[in-house]
This record gives sequence, C-alpha cells and structure tokens, in this order.
Amino acid sequence: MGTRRDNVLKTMDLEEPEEVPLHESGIDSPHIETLMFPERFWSPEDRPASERVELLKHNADVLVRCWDRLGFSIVRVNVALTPPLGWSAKVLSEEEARKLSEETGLMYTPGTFVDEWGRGTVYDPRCKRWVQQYGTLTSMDEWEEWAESFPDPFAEGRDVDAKIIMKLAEERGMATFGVLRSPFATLFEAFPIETYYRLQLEHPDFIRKAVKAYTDYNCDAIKIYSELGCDLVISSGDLAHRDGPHMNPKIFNEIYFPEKSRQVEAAHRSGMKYVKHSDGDVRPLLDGLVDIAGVDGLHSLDPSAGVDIGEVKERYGDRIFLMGNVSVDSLALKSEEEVVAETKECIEKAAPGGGYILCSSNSWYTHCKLRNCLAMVRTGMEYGKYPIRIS
Amino acid sequence: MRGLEELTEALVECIELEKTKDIVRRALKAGAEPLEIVDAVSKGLDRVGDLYEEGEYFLMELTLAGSTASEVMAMIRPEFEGAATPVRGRVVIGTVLGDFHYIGKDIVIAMLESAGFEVTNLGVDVSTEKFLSAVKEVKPDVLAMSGLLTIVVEEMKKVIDGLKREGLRGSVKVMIGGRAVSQEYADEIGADAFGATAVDAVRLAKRWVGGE
Repeated sequence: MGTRRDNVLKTMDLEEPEEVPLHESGIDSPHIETLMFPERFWSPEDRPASERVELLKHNADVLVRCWDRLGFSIVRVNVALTPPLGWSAKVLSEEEARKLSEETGLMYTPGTFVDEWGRGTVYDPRCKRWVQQYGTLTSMDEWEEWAESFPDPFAEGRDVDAKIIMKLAEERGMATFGVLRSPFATLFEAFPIETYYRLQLEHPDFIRKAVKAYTDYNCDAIKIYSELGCDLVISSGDLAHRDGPHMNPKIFNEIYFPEKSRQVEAAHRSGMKYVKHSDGDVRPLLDGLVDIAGVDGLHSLDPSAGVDIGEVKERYGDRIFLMGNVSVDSLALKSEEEVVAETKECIEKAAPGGGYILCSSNSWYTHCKLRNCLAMVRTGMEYGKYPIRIS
Repeated sequence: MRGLEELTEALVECIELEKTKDIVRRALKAGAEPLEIVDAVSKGLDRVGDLYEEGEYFLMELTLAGSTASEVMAMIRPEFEGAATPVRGRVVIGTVLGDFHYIGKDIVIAMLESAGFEVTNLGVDVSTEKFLSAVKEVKPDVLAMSGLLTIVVEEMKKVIDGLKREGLRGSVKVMIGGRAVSQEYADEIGADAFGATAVDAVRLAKRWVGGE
C-alpha cells in the first residue's frame, strides 16, 4: 500500500490512486485546538523572542499531527507570504486610522496591521487570524515608492517554519504544497478597490509592470518550494465573486494569464504541479486558466456561486485535476446528513478516473460546524476507495 | 442637449475620469442645469446596471461607474447655490458582526451615493447595538446589512429583532445582501427584501423612497 503522498502524485497525474486524497488548505485555529485538545498553539506574545524556533516547532507539530489525525494528505507550507526575520508590521494608531479613513473614504480602524504587501489587515479574535481589509496604496506613485524595496523571497527567515513542517510531513508520508498569492489578488488588495479598477482601465501598462514584478517574486518562491521538496503550489486569491469574474475575462486572458503561465512553467521545470484557487463563479475564466495559463489543477469550485464539479470534470477532466467542492456554507449551516449526501455527490461526479482531491470549497473556518467537517472526512474515507462505488 | 448625452455615454463607456469631468464642465458652461446633469448621470448608471445584469459588464465597470458618478455629484454640488443638494433618501449600511468582508458593501455604497442617497457607512464587523444606535441617530429610510460568511444569518436576525424590540422596525425599510443570504432568508427573518447585486440594492432603495 502506497503512502498518502503516492496517492496525491497519482491523482495529479490524472490516474486513479488507491483512494481519493483528503485535503483542506486551511483550518482556523479554534477548530484545530478543539480537535487536538488539550494541546494549544503557542502565541508569540507568550514566548520570549529567543524561543521563536521552539514556538515554530511546537505549532508546526500540533498542525501536522492534526492533519495526520484527520487523514489529510497534503500539508501547507508558506514561504511566499511569511515575513522575513526582523520584519515588523506597521500598526495604525487611532490618529493614523482616522486620517487614512478621511483621505480614502475607507474604514481604517486603530490596530490595523499593514503587511509587507501594503495590505491593511485586522485581527479577528473569533477566528484567531488576521483578515485582509483595505489596500493602503492610493496611487501609482505610492506603489513605485513601495516597490523600491520590493519584498525579497530569499530574505532570511521566511523558510524556517516551512523547513520544520516539511520534515514532519515527510515522516508521515504526506505531500506538501507551497502557498503563493496570485499577482491579481496581491495588486487588487494593495489599493482601494476603485483605485485598482481605475488603474486597470486607465493605466494598463502600469498594471502589466506590477503584475510582472509580482510574478517574478512568485517564480522565485516556486524555486524555494522546489528546493524544500514540495509537490505542488497553490495560488490563492479570488478572481471572481458570486456573480462572476471581477473583470472581463479578456483582461485576464491578455494581462494576467500569460504571466500566470510563466509561474506554471517555473513549477513544471521544478517538477511541481500548479493549482489555482478561486472562490466565486470562475466558469467564464476556465478556458483562459486551462488554455493560456496552463494550470494543472483547480481548487475551490465554489458551488454557492453555481460551479458544478461534474460539469467542470466533463469539460476539463482529461487535462486538469480538481480539488473541491463541499460547500463551506453547507458545513456551516446544514445537517450532517446533508453534508454526507453532498460529499458523496462530489465523489461520484469527480472521482471516477482519478484526478480528484476531496476538500471543502474554501477552508474550515471558525463558523463551520466541526461535526459537519468530520462527517465530510468520514464520508470521504468510506466512499473514496477506488473503484468508486456510491450506492 | 449634446453634452448631457455625452455624459451619459461617458458613464456607460467608463471613459477616463478626467475626460468625464471635462464633459461636465463643458455642459455646465453651455448652460446645463445641475439637475439635468444628475439626470444624465442617473441614465448612465441605469444603463451600466442593465449591462451588468445582462453579463456584458463586470464588477469593474459597475464600480467605476458608481465612483465616477460620485465624483460628478461632488463637482456639481456647489452649483446648487446654497440650496441643499437634492438627497433622495438616507441609508445606513454595514457588514454585520463577525464578518470583515467589505467589497460588496463598498460597491453598494458607491452606487447608492451616485444615485443621490446619503449613506452612513458603519464599516465591517458591526454589532447589533451599533446598527440600532445609528438608526436612532440618523433616522434612515433604509437599513442595509451585508455579509459574506454564513455566520451573518444569525446576526442579521438579531438586528431586526432589536429594531422590533426598540419600536424602530416600522420606521425603516431593511434590505440584506451577501453570498450567504437569499430572499427566502429575508422573508424568514423579517427583512423587507434581499438585494442580489448592487444594482438591485439601488433599485430597491429608489422604490422605497418613492423615486421609481
């Protein structure tokens, strides 16, 4: 019997493995701590800086054992979005938040944390995580000024946590994926929405230049993931919302997807697969993602936005593998029986022939009912054995 | 008047903001009344809304049209010579407690403002108490609640229950919007309507204040 990693590799090669790999890109800390009780993540505030590596080791150990316990096959490592050693966030004071709110008309709040990419984020105590809020750059000039010290993917300290996780995953026969942020999302999130759209419309050459810079960064991050031994990369960041793509698919096809193909090629040169994640109704973008960008897999396939995994499988299943798509809304609102039925339907539609990884349509966020999440996992284990028989 | 048709067309075609402002300046110089400018903008927004619903336009065009219209409204405000700029109605809006998503809400705000509504934006992660307090203070025609996460369904109900408890429910129309909610849910919790898109939200608000 092969390892869980073997199953993932076969799946990504569009072959039938022994069983459908189970996956989640993320689980909010409160759920992990419930699953691993009485163990807890250590908070940086509770440990002296001199114990940083011990803290990372402890937290990585809790996380990987949680994934292992759930039967998941792929562990997440994050170099691209992890700040380097010594980097400290700018936290807005009350006065700065007020001034920015007046200048931009947006709702900056005291305590907003401005990340390395110019994105304002606020801490959500219920989910115990930072949530992206507003872009803090308001013009091309501000972006140029920010880009003078463009983040360096090779900066010291970004990969410390990743190395620890890689080792733990390898010991358990699990696959690993490297996190990327798509250039579209990084750019979109660096500015207030209207500013970004206006730049896209009125200054496409600036947008091309910025997208190239973010793409170069991601290509370097892909090299790092390859050297660490990752099996795939997943590019996060939504390209669409419930009603459809943010912009005309022509713009994605002309500006963003050719640059994405550079990332895909970089992944392939390193022997890794490239997956694009997006919530929302991505259907008008699928031709571009498959034909122009050349992605190997798609993650999310948001059923709440009307995406039917069976239809995507029928149309693209001979070229890409699929990761999804038990609705996070179902995990939060529906009964266990309904989640079981939905999970069986996903397996029945997407698993035959291989090329399918079972997961939710986003992640297990705090408001998902844990019993529903576990029902999804149990159903995946019971009905995900090849040959697939759902009865 | 040609300038006014050109302004409507500028909104629909999403031309550069400065060029649109030039059209407004020329129209005013040629003797256009401020209310005629408002009307031309409104026609442009309606057409953009139609194109969005037909799938020809995307969030980008919808957002930019709303933003451009707001800029035009700000330009012509001094033309009302001391008289208050016509306000179609007042709206209090926010993303409910537990949810930090803002994109949909902010687009609705831009569209409402450009349609002549005075909007009080309470931001994200807004508590029931804050919604109730704003309704008492602003006395809006419409209370709009937004949220993407499924948790919002409980929070929206709490706000509506709070309005009832405080005797405010009869004084304000309530609309809800966001990925996790629907007209069925609006009916269930006692909201007046569900707006599927920003265009829907403006249409509902206009209908409620008697503008359509």
